[in-house]
Amino acid sequence: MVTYKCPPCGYTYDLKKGDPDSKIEPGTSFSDLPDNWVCPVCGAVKDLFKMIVIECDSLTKKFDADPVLNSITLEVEEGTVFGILGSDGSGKTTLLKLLTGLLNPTSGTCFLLGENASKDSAKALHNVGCLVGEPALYHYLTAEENLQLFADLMGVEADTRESTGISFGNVPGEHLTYSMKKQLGIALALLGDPCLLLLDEPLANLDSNTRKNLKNVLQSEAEGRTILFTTNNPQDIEDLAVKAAVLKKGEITAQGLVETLHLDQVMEVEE
Amino acid sequence: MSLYRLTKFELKKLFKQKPAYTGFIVVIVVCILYFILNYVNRPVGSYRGLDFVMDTIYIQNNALLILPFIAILLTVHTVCEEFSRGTVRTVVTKPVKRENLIIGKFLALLVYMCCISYGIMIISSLCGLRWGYADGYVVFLPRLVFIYFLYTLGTLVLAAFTLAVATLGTTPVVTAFVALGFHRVVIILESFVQLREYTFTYHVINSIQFLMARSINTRTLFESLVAILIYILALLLITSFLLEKRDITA
Repeated sequence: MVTYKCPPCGYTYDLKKGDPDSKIEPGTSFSDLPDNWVCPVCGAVKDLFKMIVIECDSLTKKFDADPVLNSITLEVEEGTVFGILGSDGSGKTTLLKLLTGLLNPTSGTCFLLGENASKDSAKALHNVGCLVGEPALYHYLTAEENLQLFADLMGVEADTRESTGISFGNVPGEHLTYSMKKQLGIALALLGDPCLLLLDEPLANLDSNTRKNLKNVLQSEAEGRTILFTTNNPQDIEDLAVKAAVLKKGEITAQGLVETLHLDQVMEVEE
Repeated sequence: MSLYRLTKFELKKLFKQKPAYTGFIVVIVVCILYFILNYVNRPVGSYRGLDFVMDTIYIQNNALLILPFIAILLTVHTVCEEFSRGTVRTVVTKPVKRENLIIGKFLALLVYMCCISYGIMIISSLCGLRWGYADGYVVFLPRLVFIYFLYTLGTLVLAAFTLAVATLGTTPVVTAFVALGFHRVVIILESFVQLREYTFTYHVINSIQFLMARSINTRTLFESLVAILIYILALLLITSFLLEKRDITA
């Protein structure tokens, strides 16, 4: 069930309740609402409403008894580039693993495009591209073969190599450098033109050229898409993201528009 | 994502790996050695017809000692490596149902093991034809095809068991030892009259014996086949459940 939110006032359209004031019956989906329907709180028009593509509610993950993520509540609207800033061990990768269904949460829920990622990850990841953790590829295949293999699996064209600047198609997987693997990982995430991208440290540990190239790729791919990425570099957040959250020891200490986030909080994380 | 595409994906991966061809080479070498050592010096004419068929199967019996090892080791190699290298993460972050992933892997292994089994059958048939022991062979051929398929299904039970163990995240060595241990335990249990009906190996041998007989007892054959399939389905269900419930930390 996809949630729609009014950005000016924060009102959320609830499918189960409908809108009794406007005589909208419970069960009416947002797309079926009349075009002249307005927000019952602030009067904003329907077109202003944004779909919530990522929704985490009190998401907690414990390994044995140790909490790695503690009660994470997060909402990402459609078309937003959302950055998660955190130092090593703050829980960034764990959060992405929970969002992609690789890990089961200890408590709480996470929804991608209205689907519960921990209950049915295949459904939730239907229109989502992911790069989680270190890029892992088949070492006995070349870069091109890896890309083609996954494109065939998804039944799409392997047409992302040019947009991501991959010029090492014939290099065997076992000889790929970390930068090459990262580029290939992003090309794999872009297969099938997904509307949501989840990228775990896409710009970390790269040489300056590849970093610059991938930043350009992310900036161009951000148009018409929602991107959630993690980083430990505040500069990446300032360059790419519109909204951000600061993750520290498994807890979100600040979140909001990038320009409103206090630099001292960011610097504290950087240290 | 369709099961067909997943199976194709697994097959492409399997046949791109060098260890997959090692299995083929081992089996072919064993078959050829068997013929060279046992058949070449036999006088022609002393042994024909159904004897040839029996010996063709006997070769398979010899190869059967290798086939479970190949099935187990290849499953260990493909699955444990996916977990240790983290490629399983790349696959499951695509919109893939975990149960389909397991079934796709299993079907790819089935195709591979069928290729090996029927490879043996073709080699033994060609060798038999070359040395003139082919009387009655053509008539028996359909049964022989089915017998080889049953042998393959037997090895696939072991592959399914190995899949289940590997999904727990055990190391390749532990997985291989547990799977080989399971194979030995089943063979030991088969020697006990009270227990043998519960072992898949008994049903494999039982159904093959029925196929070898002049008149086939279809009902018993069908029961044995169902027993083998229940084994496989149960193990695949357990594997899917384990993969669904476990955290993929690779």
